[in-house]
Amino acid sequence: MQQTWEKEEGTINVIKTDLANCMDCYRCVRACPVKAISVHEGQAHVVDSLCIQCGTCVHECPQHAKLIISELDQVKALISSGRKVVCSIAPSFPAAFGGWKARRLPSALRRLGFSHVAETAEGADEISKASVCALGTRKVFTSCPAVVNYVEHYKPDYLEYMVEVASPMIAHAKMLRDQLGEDIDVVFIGPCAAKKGEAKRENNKDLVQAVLTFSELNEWLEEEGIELATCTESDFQRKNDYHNARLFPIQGGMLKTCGIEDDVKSSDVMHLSGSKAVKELFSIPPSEWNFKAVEPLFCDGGCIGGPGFPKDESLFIRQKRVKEYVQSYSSTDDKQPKTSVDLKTVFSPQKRSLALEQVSDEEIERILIETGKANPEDRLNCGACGYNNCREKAAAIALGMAEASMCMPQMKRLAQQRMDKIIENSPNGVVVLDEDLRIVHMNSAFRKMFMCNHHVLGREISYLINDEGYEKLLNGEADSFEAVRTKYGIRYHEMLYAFTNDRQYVGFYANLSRMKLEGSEINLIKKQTMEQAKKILDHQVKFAQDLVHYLGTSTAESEALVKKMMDLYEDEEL
Amino acid sequence: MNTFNIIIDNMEVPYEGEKNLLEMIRKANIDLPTFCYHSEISVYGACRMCMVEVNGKSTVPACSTPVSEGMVVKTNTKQLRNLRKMIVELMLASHNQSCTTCAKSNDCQLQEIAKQLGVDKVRFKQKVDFEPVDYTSDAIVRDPSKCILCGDCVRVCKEIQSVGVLDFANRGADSKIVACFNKGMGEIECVNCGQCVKACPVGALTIKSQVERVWDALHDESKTVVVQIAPAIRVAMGEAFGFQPGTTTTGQIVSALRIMGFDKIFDTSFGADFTVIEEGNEFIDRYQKGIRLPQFTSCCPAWVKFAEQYYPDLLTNLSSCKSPQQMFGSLSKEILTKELGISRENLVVVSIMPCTAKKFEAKRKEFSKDNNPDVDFVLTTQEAARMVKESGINFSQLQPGSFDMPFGFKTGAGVIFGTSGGVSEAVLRYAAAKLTNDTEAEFTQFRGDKGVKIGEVKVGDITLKMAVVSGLANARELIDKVRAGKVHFDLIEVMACPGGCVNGGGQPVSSNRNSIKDRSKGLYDNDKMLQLHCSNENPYLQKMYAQDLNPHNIHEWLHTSYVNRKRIQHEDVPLSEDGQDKPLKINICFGTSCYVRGAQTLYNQLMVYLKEQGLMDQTTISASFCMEKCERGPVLKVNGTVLEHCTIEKAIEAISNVTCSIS
Repeated sequence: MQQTWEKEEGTINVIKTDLANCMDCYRCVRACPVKAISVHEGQAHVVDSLCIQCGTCVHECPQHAKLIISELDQVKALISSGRKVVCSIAPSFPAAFGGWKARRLPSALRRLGFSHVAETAEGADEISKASVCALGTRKVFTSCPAVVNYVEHYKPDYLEYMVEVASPMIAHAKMLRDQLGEDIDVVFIGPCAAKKGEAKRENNKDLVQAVLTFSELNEWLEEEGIELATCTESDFQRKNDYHNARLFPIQGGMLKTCGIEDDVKSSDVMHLSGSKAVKELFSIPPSEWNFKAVEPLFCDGGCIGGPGFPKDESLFIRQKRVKEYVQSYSSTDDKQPKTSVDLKTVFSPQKRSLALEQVSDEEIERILIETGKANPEDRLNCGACGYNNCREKAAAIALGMAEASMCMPQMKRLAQQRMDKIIENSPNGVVVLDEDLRIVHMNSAFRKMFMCNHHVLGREISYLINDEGYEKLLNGEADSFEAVRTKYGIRYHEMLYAFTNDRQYVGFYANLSRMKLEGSEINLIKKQTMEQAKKILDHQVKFAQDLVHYLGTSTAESEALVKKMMDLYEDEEL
Repeated sequence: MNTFNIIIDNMEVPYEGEKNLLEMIRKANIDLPTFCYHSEISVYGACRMCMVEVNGKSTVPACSTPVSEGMVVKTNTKQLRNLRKMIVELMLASHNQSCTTCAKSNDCQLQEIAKQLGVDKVRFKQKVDFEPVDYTSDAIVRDPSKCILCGDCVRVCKEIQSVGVLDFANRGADSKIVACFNKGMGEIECVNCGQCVKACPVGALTIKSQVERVWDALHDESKTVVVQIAPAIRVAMGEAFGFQPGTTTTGQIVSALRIMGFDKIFDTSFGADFTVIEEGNEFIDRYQKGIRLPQFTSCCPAWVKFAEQYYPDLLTNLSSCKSPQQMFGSLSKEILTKELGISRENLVVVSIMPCTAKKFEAKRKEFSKDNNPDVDFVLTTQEAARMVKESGINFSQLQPGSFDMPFGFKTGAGVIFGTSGGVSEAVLRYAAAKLTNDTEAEFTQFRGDKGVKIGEVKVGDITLKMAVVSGLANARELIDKVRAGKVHFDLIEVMACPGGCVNGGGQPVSSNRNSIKDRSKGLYDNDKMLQLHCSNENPYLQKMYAQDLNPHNIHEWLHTSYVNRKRIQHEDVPLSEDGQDKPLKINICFGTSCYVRGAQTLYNQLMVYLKEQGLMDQTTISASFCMEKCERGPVLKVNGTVLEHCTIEKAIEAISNVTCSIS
């Protein structure tokens, strides 16, 4: 696995691309809510200064090529160093380790070597108390680092509405250090990619040594052979209900913990989740924010929709598990020690290295023309490239983030044209038959060889030549067939292939009567010719199947092959 | 060490200090069958299954043949195969082959070896007249009809436990194993540890099952049945269902028991947390006052009986604490009955223990009230596993379940009780918490599988001398040194089974050599996994001390006393006219030692004195045969006061004390 995209100076990177898996599908470009993904030579990379670390690309990528950078090795090193390593686990953990597993996870964490295993909900409880004081002066209540990143990078005008209280992770880390002394290492485990970035922020320095996702935790447990089913039941270090702060990972959970009245009828209190809703919220002018509190969470459904879960399960199941776990703590047996740690934090505008909206209209027009979209009707705005419209994509090309070849309709058009040209110009006869062995397509060499014209289209091949080979393919006796035959005074070599998936048959014909060489040489050339033919055929079939995909390199290869074959024939004719 | 190779079945095998030829052969991956060979006890060479041919000439038992250079060994000649088969056939002919109904079926080595050697018929006449089964013990059933005379039980009892209640009697074809004086196992000095049951390769020694009694209780609608699980169960029971030794299957055990119909499922470790507090307080008190040291632990019922039999003079040094099982039993019968609003009789307490001696312990009269025992039934791990199988439960696939509260909550200290050194470690943690307020102090020096572990431990300003022994022979050796004043300790932990409860007589039989170590490790893992490690941090326990317990009932519910188990169990012989209510009661020992030391003369002088004083009418005189104080004879008891090295003067003084108080 390699990361070739250069890391930008002064940025924090959280997501990397597994280049071996990245197959230019542009799904991440399409999914990225802030278009922070750049495509180079067909492969997609995250631009760190644009990225808000929401992790959407991670769970969207069908090839699993987008990965949250693992910190497992760092955590293992901390533990084996013999230092006291403390674990703070996010309240969304029952969504990943629910039901009976929830009561065994603390045991598993202790077996992994954590000396103190606590719930981040402890910090969430504290910051709720601190946040509620801001009611009336500030409106945005959120512990979501992706929302914070979004506002800092893209909507700095809204910063003045944000409640400036530390996140539960940071608050908890400070509290743990207050309780256990500074000589500890804190590892946060959660569902979130952005938390990895948050822990590395300058103002949070040295508070949290590493952040793991639940997926990383799961991987670690598997490596160590720790099965939750054979762990003893146990509790976290404290047994407290934390005033329902375990609800934080569910949309609206923070406001609930804060005690800010959340009546469905009330228009004063809003909570929303998912990138679309968050972007909408921050596109409404603050003057129209006629509510007193809003809790935006970047992932769908809240943190339970985060990218760091090991299994794909429905939000309903995850939400249910979290709620069941919350209900299992009804009492406040345990006295919560009063904490005196500073829970304030500061948010500030962040600079981006590039911005799509800064590209000039002239530049965009120029690129549109260059990429064959001079006509407005060619600007389909289909979104296949990942961008919302052709203009946006042109702007991305201008910034060097996108490539012309990402336009599917354009490429398909080009490919079709080139493909037809190659087949048509092949020195060998090519014919395509349907499932009834009727001629669907043939090239000029075939027409010339068997002296026919387009009137034979739709007729059975037996009308022209011996169809014994095709019958064999049709009956499923073979996938391919080869023979040397004579017809119309021509001695020819036929190579037939069946494409059962498409229910089509392709015949490839080489005219042998024009070859006047010595036996051995003929055989050699025959062999070579056939190999070449086979290769080109393979390529052509792939073309038919995945036209756009292989366009760039494959076309070149095919063309080279055709050229080589032509050269061979030329040699022969000398 | 000499390095050379020997030839075993055409393979060159390097000699690496193996103590006998059998170990060499097994190293070469040839599984030579044996009945009587156990690496931890002496070599006996009785079963003749390991016969091998050496240098093409002599046929020798591999277990008792030392390795020497130039040996060429064959383990599988025609003659040897025939020999082995014939021995097994002879064993089978004199063995009660009621295999399908035998408790040992499937774990039986005779069955296994007969199968391994392909014995498919027995050419000899089947023996039919067998001696009756001995059901006298509460823990162990002995069925002489199954015995193959390997002598494993004899050697384990003698060598590992230094109890030696089993031995060979008669000779030749009449040879048999008998308990001493040809009595029942329940009538002798057997401490019920069950190590003989573990060693027995066949079904001659088995656990006395209470499975049916427990089913009856479960099926009885009027009873509320609660169950407690000992620490060592959770890391061993899985072995009966394909888990590796040491794998924690607490959750599966809880689920299985719930399916079987137990109303509440609790943890003996909760009782163990109480034991830690009580025993810790007792120890700190004794240490500070400098009395009754060394303090011995009292959790192991086999050790308690051992001490009662052989060290009655040290009984005051034993902790007065009940074992975790019994603390749990009395607390549930006293507190749980109130919570559930039911009578003692309707609450059935079942415990699942790694131990056969716990069956005996639960039946001790100290542990029942109004004829109702604190713990009604004790199942061993093996029996519990059998019940799970009988229920048809797919154990390994069960979703793990949760203990009921509050008796299911425990700290790590309560869990490590199941391994040798665990009780000491738990008590030290508590002592550190109490004396220095440090709840995180670690004391790991008594971990490990050695039979005797000795060390000094600093707790705050004080240095404690500690010993941890497992295996009663080890205990005897150490205590003899303590008695002789050669060594001094403050606290001595004794567990009868080597390695502690994880190796108890009721645990699953394992062929895995590391199973005991793995089970111990499993318990320490359990400790690590729990959030609390010091018993006094247990919140439910704190609540119980605050709400339900007071000095009076603590004494009654959590502490006990011990009995001096006289070796001779005869009734005293009355020497005077009958009449029990006479105010003066004199008992004189006529045991050999006391007789030699002048008991007869003392008796004569006493009779003269009583007649002179005219006290005969008011006196009951009886003779005893041993008060286990032989070296301090003659011994006389006057109204319960024991007079050692008794003279007529001492006797007259004691008698006049009594007569004064009467008049």
